[in-house]
Amino acid sequence: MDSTLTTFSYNYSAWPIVDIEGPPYVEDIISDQLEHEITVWNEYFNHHFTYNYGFDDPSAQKWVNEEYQRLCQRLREEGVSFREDNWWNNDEFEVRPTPIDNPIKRLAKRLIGH
Amino acid sequence: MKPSAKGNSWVRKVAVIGIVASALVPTNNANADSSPKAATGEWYAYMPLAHTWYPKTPTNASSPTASPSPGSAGRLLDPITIGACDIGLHGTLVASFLSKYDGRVSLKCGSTDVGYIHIRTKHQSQWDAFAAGNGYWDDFMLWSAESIVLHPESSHLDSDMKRCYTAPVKTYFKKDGINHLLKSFSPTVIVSTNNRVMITAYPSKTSRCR
Repeated sequence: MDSTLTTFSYNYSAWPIVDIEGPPYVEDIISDQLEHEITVWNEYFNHHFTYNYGFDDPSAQKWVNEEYQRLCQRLREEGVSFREDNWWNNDEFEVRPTPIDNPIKRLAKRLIGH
Repeated sequence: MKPSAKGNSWVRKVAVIGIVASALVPTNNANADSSPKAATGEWYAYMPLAHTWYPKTPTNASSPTASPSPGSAGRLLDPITIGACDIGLHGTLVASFLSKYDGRVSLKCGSTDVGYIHIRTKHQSQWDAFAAGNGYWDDFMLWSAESIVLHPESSHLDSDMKRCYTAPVKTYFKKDGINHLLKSFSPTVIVSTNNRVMITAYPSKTSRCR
């Protein structure tokens, strides 16, 4: 599997890193201090962000972004290979985030078998 | 900052046109077009707690770890519904399914922040990594999500009314009657409990609920 599929990004859960491979997992590699700082960042995010309203305060978003960049740097310093994704800053609704799926082609594939 | 309801009338008016037009646009997304692998064996995924299979119950089904259960196979997402998501009808219902703790849960097209579009934008490549080209990533994702929320191994309710569900999923390759374990992972599914919508679902090697 491609280790670059490991992402550090807010994902609404208790830990903001998606491990595609492992063990060892990212939290096994990094220092306890960095793990704690990431957890604090994630808990802050969970507290100040909701999926339907966004951040409750612009200052919260500012802190999240600044801390995110710092944590990205710290992760790299500790040898973690990962992909950044700060999707929460995208104000623009992405109507077509990926090339359009072709519904007819998709339907045809369904008809001839999965 | 949030993209509010942008189901503007002009969007709705071009919905049908957009769906038809999208059918004429050749996709250059290899992931979206992933075809079943040509293989002499049989790939499938199994959710032990739900006793469900994906994409279908394998021939001479026997659970890799226990006696077989009739189980159920994954259902397939409606291409037209996905087309509606493509053209921005973010309130469109993609699927709904029962959960263990939150009743019937809806997956809507959503936006980059939530729902099907969020999952596709942020986690499609990760789902693809586990589906390994067997069918569509989103059919696999939906099968996993609905199996997990109905038969979770664990769940956790946050103070902000989000519930995290997780359960193990295993993928196998069956050849010459022998099941070979390929991958074992624990997807995470997040549900908003106050309005019963699925916020996100992503695969991860280990459980990410608390």
